[in-house]
Amino acid sequence: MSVRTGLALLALMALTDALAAQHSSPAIVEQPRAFGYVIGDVIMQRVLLTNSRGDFKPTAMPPVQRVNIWLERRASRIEKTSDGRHWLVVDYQLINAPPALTTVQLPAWAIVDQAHGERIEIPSAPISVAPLISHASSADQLRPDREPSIIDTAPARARLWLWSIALGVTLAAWLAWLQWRNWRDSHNQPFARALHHLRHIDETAPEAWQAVHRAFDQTAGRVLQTETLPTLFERAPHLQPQRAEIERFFAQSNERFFGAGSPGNLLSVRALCRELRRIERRHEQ
Amino acid sequence: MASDEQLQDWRDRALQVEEEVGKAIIGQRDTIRLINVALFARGHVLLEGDVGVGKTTILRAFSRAIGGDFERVEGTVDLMPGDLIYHTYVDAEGKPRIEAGPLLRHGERLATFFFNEINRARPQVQSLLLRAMAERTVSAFNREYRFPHMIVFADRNRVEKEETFELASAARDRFMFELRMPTPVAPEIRRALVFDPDFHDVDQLIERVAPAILPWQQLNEIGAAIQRSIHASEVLERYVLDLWDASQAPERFGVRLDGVDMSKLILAGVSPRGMMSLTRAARVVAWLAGRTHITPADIHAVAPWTLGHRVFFTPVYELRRTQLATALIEQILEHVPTPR
Repeated sequence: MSVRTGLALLALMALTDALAAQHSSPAIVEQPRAFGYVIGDVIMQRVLLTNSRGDFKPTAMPPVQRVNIWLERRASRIEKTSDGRHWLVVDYQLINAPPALTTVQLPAWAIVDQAHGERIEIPSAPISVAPLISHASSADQLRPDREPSIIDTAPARARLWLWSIALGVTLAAWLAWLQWRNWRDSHNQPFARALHHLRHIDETAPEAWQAVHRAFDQTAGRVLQTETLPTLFERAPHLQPQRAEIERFFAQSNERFFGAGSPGNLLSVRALCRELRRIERRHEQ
Repeated sequence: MASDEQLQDWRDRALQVEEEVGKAIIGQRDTIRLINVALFARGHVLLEGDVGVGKTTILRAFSRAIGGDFERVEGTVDLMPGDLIYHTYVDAEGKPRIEAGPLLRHGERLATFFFNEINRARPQVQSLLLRAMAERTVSAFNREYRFPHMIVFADRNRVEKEETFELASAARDRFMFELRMPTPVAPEIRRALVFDPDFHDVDQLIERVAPAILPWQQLNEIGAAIQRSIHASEVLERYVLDLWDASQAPERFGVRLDGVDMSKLILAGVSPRGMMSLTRAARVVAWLAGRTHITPADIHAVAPWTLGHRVFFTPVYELRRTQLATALIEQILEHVPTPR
């Protein structure tokens, strides 16, 4: 044996040892079923981590990433079955839809044991992927929507009618009450009545001023003059904020009806009456 | 016809009269104002009140302030009409003499005739006075005596009813005002009246009043000028006419009195003379306030005193006159609307 031959044998022996140190074993893999997938489906691949030497602890979990044009690997996890074995569960999601039935490969990958450096090779696996719809050339050829199932809406319609009628009756009653109250106020409440009267006449007409006078009289329970105004504020203290305007009204009324005639800058009795009505409504009993 | 300046000048004098009388009488501001109003409205005044409230004093004070001649008669049960007209006596030479009595004595200079306790005088005397009040004339000694400037102030006390003669309706109607002079209630005034010696000597009190402030001969003229110069609007006229209606049928205006059947209350409402007195007096109130028009407030200021004694109740309610008349007028003023 030549020296050269001897050296070759030594190198071969060294390579054999190195290969033995990096022992690679076939994996026990539960591959997913090989057919019947469409876009969006999640495909589960399970790799047994328990072997004769105990549990296989991978140095790293397969990364979450898009593995090819069709698939994206999702977060992996280790599950323990009832027989005590550990499985690495890897999910892939189908993220593309082929135009026709196509075979797609789950990629081959490997994991390495932390303790012994043992490596498990997971082979690729073919699965067939189908489109959701046939790729027709025009929208006319799309399959029509499925006919919805007819459910019986009669009871619901009846209930809807019933509640609608109840709502209508309630609204009508409320409106009627509102109208009745306005009508009653326009006949009973002093300033409501005056305001109602003012709607039909010119606010500068003597009748308009007289109507407001009657409202003041009714509120005070007596005929009011400038000198007897304190009676009004004793009887209806809520009118106090309008005292200046009320006094102005009486002063102008005195000038108009008993003095030299209508003074300049005549106040708006409608505005005054509206304001007094607003206060009156707030203090209605 | 009096100018605006003259009216203003007279107004100042009228207010001065009130001020002067106020020096002698305290706590009677309203009474003083109303007597002053009657003076310029040329109306007679009947003053009623308790004994010793100052009825005589206030009238004497006015007499002094007005100026002109003043005469005073005490009403007694034995006073006869002739006692007002003439006075008979035997002179120092033993001759019987007849002289003019208190009513005629001053002739046309008589400005104030004060009849004290008028309800003690017999109806015959009251009748004579009524003519003198209404016509300002009296027939005597075959001729007619005139007192064109005379204003009669009469008083009566409302306590005594013995030996008195209630004034007839017609007599009461001759008085523009029937004033009720109240006893002062303010403590400081009561204290002054009781403890301040100044108020104990009536003559000295009267001396405080400046005499003859007014040229009394012109009072009729100025009174007429006031009546002409103070305007009453159509609305006010309607109001006064409504008040008149209300005095006859108060229930039509919603007037109610407790315990009174309103449909049976009124025997006769206010007389036309009463309503005239009301507006005459209201015009003077407006004038004193410096206005040229009457307002309802002017009416209200005098209505209780011009209308109260002019509403006549049915016999069943007449006994409660004092109480009912006041309440009725008050209610009428509260219920008759204006402007309308």
